[in-house]
Amino acid sequence: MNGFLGGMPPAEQLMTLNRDDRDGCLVLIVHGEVDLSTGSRLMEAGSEALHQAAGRPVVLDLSGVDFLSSSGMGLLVALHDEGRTMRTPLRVVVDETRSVIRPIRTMGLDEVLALFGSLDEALTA
Amino acid sequence: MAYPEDLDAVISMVLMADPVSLSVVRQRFRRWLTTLRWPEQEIDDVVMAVNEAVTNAIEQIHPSEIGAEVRVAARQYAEPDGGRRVLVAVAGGKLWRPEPAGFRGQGLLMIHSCMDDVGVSREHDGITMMMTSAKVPPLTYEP
Repeated sequence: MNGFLGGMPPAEQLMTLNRDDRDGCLVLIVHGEVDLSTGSRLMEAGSEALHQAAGRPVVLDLSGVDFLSSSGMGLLVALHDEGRTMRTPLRVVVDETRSVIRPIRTMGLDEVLALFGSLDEALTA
Repeated sequence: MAYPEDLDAVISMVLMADPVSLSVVRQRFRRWLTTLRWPEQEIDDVVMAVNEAVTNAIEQIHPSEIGAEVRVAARQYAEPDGGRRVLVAVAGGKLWRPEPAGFRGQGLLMIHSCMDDVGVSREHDGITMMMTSAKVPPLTYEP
């Protein structure tokens, strides 16, 4: 144990965000864990992307996400709603083989979000 | 008890009531259950439920409870047929009431979907959420 947090990395390292312009889409690539400590950063970045997309689709690539809490799922719904208000489609990429797909289905988010199994599918939708 | 591992199969921790504690509790539970050779999917369920319970406790720390802590303890036990479960206890601040917070209370729904039984017990110093996991197969030993 290294002190109180047991040597855990700070929230900045727990989740990383990268942005990319690809095939007319604004892509936000998320890696790591989305929880109460990292969610606000994802919410801000997602909201900013929706505002800067100028009508282009925004693709949120969660293929590299290892953990998604209910607070994280709540912000996905919030971003989806924000995109709909702004008439900017939000496409969410979730790898079917990863464990995060199960809680997404449990919460019925597969009925709400525009989900894609790969980044390529989301870009060409 | 049929399994010597049961003697060691307890884990407990005191966490700062802050969101940064969540990755700590997730990592420790994942490591613990991996050591106890739990199946992947059941590990995911326990980790998810514990994360949601601790999240709920952290979100509802009353401003008057400066420096509050969340205490988490768990024990693996075997049923007569050898099947194993873990019982997890999460105790929040004195004023914690496990109830909807965040994503319109979806955290509690998630806990119920990941665990076989969920209840609260009222202790003198607050409320403890008790969660019983699904049952996983007995440990088998290679000869």
